Amino acid sequence: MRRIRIALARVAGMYTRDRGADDVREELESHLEMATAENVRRGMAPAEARRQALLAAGGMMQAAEAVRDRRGLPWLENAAGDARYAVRALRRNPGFAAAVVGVLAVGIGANAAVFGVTDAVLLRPLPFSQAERLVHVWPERFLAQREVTLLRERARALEEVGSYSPGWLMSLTGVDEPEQLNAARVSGNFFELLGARPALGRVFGMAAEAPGAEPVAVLDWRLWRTKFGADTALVGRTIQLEGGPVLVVGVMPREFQFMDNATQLWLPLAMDREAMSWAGGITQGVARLAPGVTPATATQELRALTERARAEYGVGAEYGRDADVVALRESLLGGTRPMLIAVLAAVGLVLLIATVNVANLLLVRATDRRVELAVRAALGATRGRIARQLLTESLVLGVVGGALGILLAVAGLALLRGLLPPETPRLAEIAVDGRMLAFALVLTIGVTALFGSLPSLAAARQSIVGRLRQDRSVAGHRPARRALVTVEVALALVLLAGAVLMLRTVQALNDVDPGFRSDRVLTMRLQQSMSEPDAARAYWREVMDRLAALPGVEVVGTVLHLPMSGRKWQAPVEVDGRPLPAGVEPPRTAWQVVGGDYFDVIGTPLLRGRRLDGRDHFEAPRTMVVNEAFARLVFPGEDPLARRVRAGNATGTEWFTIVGVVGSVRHDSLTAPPPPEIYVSIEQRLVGSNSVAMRTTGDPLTLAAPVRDVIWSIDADIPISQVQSLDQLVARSTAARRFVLMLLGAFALIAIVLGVVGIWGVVAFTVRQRTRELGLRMALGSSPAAAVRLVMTEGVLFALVGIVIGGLASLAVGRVLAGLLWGVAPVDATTLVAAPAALLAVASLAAWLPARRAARLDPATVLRE
Amino acid sequence: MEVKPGTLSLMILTTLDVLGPLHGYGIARRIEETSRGRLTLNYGTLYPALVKLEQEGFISAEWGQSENNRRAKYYSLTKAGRSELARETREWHETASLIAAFLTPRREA
Repeated sequence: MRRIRIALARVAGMYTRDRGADDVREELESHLEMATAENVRRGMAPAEARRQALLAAGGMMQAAEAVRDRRGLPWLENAAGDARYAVRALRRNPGFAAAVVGVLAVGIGANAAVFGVTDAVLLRPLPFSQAERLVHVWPERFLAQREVTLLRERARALEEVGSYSPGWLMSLTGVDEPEQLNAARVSGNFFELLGARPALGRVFGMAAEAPGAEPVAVLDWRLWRTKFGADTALVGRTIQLEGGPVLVVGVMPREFQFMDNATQLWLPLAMDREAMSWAGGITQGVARLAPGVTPATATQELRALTERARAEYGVGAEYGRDADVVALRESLLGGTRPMLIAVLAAVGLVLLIATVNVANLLLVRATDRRVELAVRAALGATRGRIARQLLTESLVLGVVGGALGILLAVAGLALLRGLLPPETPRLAEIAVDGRMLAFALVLTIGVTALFGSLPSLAAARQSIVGRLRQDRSVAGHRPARRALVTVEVALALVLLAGAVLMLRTVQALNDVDPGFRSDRVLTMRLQQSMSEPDAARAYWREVMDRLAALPGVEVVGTVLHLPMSGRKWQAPVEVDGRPLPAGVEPPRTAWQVVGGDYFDVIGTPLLRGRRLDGRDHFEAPRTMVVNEAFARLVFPGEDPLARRVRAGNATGTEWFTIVGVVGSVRHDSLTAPPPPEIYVSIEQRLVGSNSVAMRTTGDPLTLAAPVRDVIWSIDADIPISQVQSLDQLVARSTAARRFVLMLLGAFALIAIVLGVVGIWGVVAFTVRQRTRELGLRMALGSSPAAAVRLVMTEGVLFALVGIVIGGLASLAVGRVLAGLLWGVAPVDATTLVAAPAALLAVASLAAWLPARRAARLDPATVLRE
Repeated sequence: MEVKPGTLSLMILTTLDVLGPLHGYGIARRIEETSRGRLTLNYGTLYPALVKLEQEGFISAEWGQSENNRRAKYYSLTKAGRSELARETREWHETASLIAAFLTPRREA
């Protein structure tokens, strides 16, 4: 209580100090007068009386000072004075202040922005209740209703099981501009399972799944805002989806997304309960683990369940062997982690370089101010006081740099959000928030403490006399500055090596022959009901015929799963006349359904035999084409033509005869080897959902609208989705790597620029400091070239040490980037030579430019000075 | 002889208790006289101590006229100051008797 009272009184005292000063002076003066009067009364002469009184009272000024200190808070007032002084000193040297603040702002801003992304995507818990218990069931597989029911009934490790079926395209009509919406159909317990609450209205529950229930929809925040103008009255009204009324019951919050960023609304999934198919699944399994159960335990149980199902339902022997349960977090974020970690590591290096650079700038400045500081010391400032003054200056720079950095971070976050691959999970959650700002603040404080303490320490170490003597041969902080240049160059090299490795990866990807030509191919996915097989076959024929006739279209085909689409169905292979010995696993193959001239569209060559064509119609003998990878896997050293093959769901129980061999296609990604594939005709193996692909004469996307018109003129109820060029599809598969390359490249560039500035500074400084020595050397017969060499050495030598250190460190870069590199060894000879060589060239240039001044020195002028 | 730290505030409070409201000079004179010239108080010691006591709320200050018509700042004891004086006096006696007990030579039995 008493302490607080005193503190308040002292704080108040700071404000009334000026008035208080007069007060004190008057009080002391009256004291003096009374003492003088007393002395006079004792018989002294007035002048002597006052002198004696003063002697007894002690120094008036010191007393006033002591009272003033007691009144206010001297340390705070000193700090304020230091800050005022610092601002004044920095304004006298705006170039220096701008350089420091700019470098800090870039370092802090870039780091805070990357942290903002990493935090939102990787670090924060998923925005679902008890998210650590949520799992992705059998992520490799789309489950059928039968399987979901089986899990609900039998899996004890799973407290609750739900389904999530994305990618349903639905026409929205009854609005100004009819639109195709991307819906996800989900089980009734989906929202409850996640613990997700709507921003508006309500979500639907199990009742919505029941047959005959009123159709309801929950909207995505973005759809609600863009399409319905954020109208709160929309909840409770109906919209027209696929020509029928659907009641809007709620709107989800902005940051709610699940598994993908494309879903615009959620509808109840009313799956065909009678469907016994074990392969025609349409939904992802999502579940909540029972308390205390791990995904590994759940996986064991799942495999045991599928084993029983094999016997009970007579499904294939391979069913369920690969079944697993993966933590939702892992399944969602696992693929993004290497990318973000690489970027985070790189941006951390940028901050280190920025800090080193600023420390360097401050050292130069401290050197320039040696005389000023020495004068202050000579006038009685203690070392601590001077160190505090210098630290205050750093603090002012840090605060301004940090504030600017936060502004940059806000802009940078928006920029990053635009640059990130569109599939990046949790994209909607990336936003400026308190955690990001707190991070920027911590960075600012940490960095300021780091670079700020250096000049104070250096200043405190020097003797006043040495500094006052202004001895130019005693170069200021030379060892420290050389070390800093070395560190800068080493760090820049590490970043450069990373960027070069990524560049070589992306180049290697561009050079990959994917087995198909992706240019000028337009693709889109159509969903057909398949309820009448004859009509369905006729439908696909008509689509291809009509599109082939469209001007601008060269050739048309259909395929079950496009390369790089991320979708692939697989089956075990049986060869007629080659029974497998008991206990031997059959080889597996991907299977495809193709129609029209698909191989011509994507430019896959025929190697042997013939392609599938009109001869392979519904009533004709069953035929298939295989790719080279399949031929090598199943018929090594044999002729696959005319052999008969069965492959699970691709063929059913019928034998299909191989009529041709085509080139292999990299189906999974550019980086994975082409999988073995078999191709059957859509006539002989009907599937409901296919991608239509057509080779065009010009820019494929310009044909999207006319193609859509043609398709809807055949049947207006066919949903069209995923309209894109094959080039876009391929680019998406390399998006993460290109993102990392772009950022690493940018960061490496920043690092090199900072490094160049550092080397330049050191050499320019050396020239200034050694002017007399150089003049003397030249007067004694040294050539200008020798003078240039002498000072260049100063920059190049220490850069070279940095290059050696950085070169060793960059051996480890490959490991950080391991998950992203492709087609280049983590320790790559070219990178290890090219990056240091490039950096050495840049460093030499940075040293040479200021060193030229040494050559232009006139010995006579220099020595006379 | 310099004033021992911690004892000055007790002297000031006692002075004000005995003499009533008084200016800084008067306090200094009184303390010097009471010590029979053994203590000398300079400004730098006395006035910061007065500020501190004022901040603590033990004394209050007011400008007034001195006996020979000079403007002077008069300090007087507050209620809190009175109880502080009692407390400090008690503590001082205890400390003094304790120290005295230590310093008195005594034969061990």
